[in-house]
Amino acid sequence: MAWLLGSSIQTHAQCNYTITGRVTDKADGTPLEFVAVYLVEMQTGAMSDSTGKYTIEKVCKGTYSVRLSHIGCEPVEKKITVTGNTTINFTLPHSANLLESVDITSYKEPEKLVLMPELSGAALDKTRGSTLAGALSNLPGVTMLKTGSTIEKPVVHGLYGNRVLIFNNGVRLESQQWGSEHAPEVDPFTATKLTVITGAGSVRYGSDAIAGVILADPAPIRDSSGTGGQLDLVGFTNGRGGAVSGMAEHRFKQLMPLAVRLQGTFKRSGNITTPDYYLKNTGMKEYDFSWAATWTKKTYGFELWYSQFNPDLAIFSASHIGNLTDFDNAIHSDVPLETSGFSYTIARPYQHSEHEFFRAGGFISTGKSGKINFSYSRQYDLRQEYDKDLPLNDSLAALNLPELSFEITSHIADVVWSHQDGSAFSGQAGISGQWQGNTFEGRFFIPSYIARTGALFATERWSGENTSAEAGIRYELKDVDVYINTGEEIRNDSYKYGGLSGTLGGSHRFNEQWELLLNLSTAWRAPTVNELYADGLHHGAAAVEKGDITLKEESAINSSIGLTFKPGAASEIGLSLYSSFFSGFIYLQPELPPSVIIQGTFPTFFYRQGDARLIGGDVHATTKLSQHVYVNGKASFLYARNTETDDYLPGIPPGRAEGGLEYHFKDIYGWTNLKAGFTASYISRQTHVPSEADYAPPPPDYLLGSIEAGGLLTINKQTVSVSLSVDNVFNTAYRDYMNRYRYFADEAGRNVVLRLKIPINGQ
Amino acid sequence: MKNIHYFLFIAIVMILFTWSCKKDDSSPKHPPVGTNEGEVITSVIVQVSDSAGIWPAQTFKFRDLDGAGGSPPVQFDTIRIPVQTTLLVHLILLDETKLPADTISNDILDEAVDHLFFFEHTGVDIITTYLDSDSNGLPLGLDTKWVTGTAATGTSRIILKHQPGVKDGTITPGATDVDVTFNCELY
Repeated sequence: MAWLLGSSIQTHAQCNYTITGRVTDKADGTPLEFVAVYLVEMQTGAMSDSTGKYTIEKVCKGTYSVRLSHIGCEPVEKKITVTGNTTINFTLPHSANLLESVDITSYKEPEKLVLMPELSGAALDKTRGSTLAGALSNLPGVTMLKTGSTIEKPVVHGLYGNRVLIFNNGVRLESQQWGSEHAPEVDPFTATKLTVITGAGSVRYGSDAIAGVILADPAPIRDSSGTGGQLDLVGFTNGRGGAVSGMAEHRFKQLMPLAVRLQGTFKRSGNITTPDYYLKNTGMKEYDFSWAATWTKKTYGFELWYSQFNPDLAIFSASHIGNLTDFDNAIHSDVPLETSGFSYTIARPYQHSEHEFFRAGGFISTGKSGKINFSYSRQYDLRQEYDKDLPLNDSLAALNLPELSFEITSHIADVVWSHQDGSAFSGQAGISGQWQGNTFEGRFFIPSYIARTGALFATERWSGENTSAEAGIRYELKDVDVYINTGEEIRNDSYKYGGLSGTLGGSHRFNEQWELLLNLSTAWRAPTVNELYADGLHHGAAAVEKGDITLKEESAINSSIGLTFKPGAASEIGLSLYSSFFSGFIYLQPELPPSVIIQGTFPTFFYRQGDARLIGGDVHATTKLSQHVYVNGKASFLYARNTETDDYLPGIPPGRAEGGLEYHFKDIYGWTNLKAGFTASYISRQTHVPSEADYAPPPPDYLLGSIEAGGLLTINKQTVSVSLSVDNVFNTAYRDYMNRYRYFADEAGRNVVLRLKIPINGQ
Repeated sequence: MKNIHYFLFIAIVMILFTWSCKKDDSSPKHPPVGTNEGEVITSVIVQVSDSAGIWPAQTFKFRDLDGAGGSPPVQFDTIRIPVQTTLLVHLILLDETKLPADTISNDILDEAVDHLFFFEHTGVDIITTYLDSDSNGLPLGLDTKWVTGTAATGTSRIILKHQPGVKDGTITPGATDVDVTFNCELY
């Protein structure tokens, strides 16, 4: 402590500097949360958030000793000198056994060469309890396609489904993602970081990443010996539901390379209510669990991971309709034709899914500068759809079988070599292979198939002082064997697809304030089996869908430009513009004659192919009005046109704008980071819709308000993150263009959500 | 003691490991025929007889053997019936994807309280009255009486509504199971 006395304290100097930075793990660079960063002489400090970020304001010029303390670690002190607004990053040897020293590195954010907004830390905590898509929709460029309030699909730059790839803990999610009422099978509680790579990622992640890639990454397992964990509790009033998610992990003291983790989530909610009525049969229940085990040494490591995701999602009864007349009646009724009170019961119609991941992977260092990552994964996905009515035949009804059932099994293997030797060049090269088998039982919608994919890719990056550039290329081959039982024979149709995709990007930092990102990339995807073979009635959509086996690959050229302006430590303005030019864009086109089937006359939608273009932009801004008051705003627009039919594309999210005000309180009675805020969101009416291709005009624009308050509460050294929020605070009745229930019912009314996050640390 | 702790932990992980990995038992190379287990109404058969027994009984059919999608109906008759006659109409609904065909109308009779047929005649003068009812006294419509007027051509639409728990004698509640519009000729 003696050297502390030697530090100079300048009481008369300017005291309006801000120190900010990140605390990361020395061993693997993971952000460290709940690290107390304390300026001893000033008797002030801050706690790092879950991205490892801390900010200490009103610091005077001078030299200080910084004390870093973290639960389970000995406090560490280090000397710093402050002469202006400073960014200082610390690396902390998180493990008590490895405790040697703390390193200070100068500020250098990892360069991002494409637009990739991410959600982590407090921003992600605010979304706990919502679906993956619900959480992601807080990011610029991401909206969601809803089927009620429990089935939500992420929409990236206006596109979804097969055009958006989702990676759960590094494994590409393979399920029935073609259905717009099929939500991704990922438990968002497992992720501590959600990243969206918009309009790029086709080289590294798959040539079919046409609209983008979503990465859901868990926190790395703790690197210090002992036991730790976290408990998340969420309760919400609309649906009278709740979620519990717990995680426990342990690193062995006598066997330091070995660590294990167990995690589980349970979620349950009942019928959702709009401001005026309950939505009959809109409950859900879900249980998920996962475990992981790692063995990590300096030059090699192995990891095993297993997870299960098991939701039962009720389908709003009034949305399941018999034919166009029923549909018309439903549209013209102000309240749904079927209503109910509150219930937790999940009755027909509902969907049951089971999704299972298993991954074995690892890395080996190749000399000083590179490493090889390898992984094998197996996934199994079961989707069962239960129609509204049981069969009339009593013996069939007694079986209570799903009317439609799909099972997909996928095996994926990857080997990736990456090099980063400290020079300006870094890069990756890899090979990837996939085998997938799909089977079905019950009503025919898509046939059984086996698909095989193989790919080679390489990317190389040059990083200069203020300028970086990256180029990459990928070659992918895919072949699909489709098997159809016609009753007399089993027919086998084979398809082969192949092609290149590439990316080219760069960034330039003009000065401390201005930064520019540019990216150009191409992507392509093979038509999916439903686009080739769909043939049947789509319940709830009141349409007969017909595939086309002559469809070819769909390809896109994506470009984006991003500009960031940071006039001060707490202020930022970001602007991004993007465009996608498609050739062979696959879309559903209503065509005459309508289909005459026994349930009546239905419009017939054919899968067609043509050219299309999408142009959009997102803007966001944050600034500080005073020491306590922060404001932020964001807005986005998208313009999408089918150049083949010279008409708008359907299902494109309308323009939106959002503004928020946040008040930061002083620390009081064990509370830190105490904040309260209000957000207003405006969603415009979608006026750019194709002519005569929808049953009802798009709903009018609406304005929603939400409030939120929260902070960190420390009692007896135990810190708990507490947040209380109210969505749709004015209980506004509205309908959203991106919800498939908009024909039948209003959106959910007011919802009060209480969230608790309790980190558990032990030895 | 501590070692026991670790072993327990590892044991739990191993148990979970062995419990894992669900299997798809069917092979993509041996797919089933679509709709093998489900139930579809493929055919509506309209049996018409003269209450006076003068005009010979006739049968008119709508048959779409592969259900929704696929091929168009294989048979879609025009209902040709005599003018100024009181006719008895009996409906039969079949699932002809099964062998032998499943008579769905028997199941409808069993669940009469949840079902209701409607008849809508356009351009032809036909007055329809129900001859059957469910246990609640509400009409069903498997058996009806048609009183025909003067010579004309038009359409006869037959609708079956499935109204579990909500049947009130009107067309509004429930979902439509059948909605077939026959061409109709009175001669």
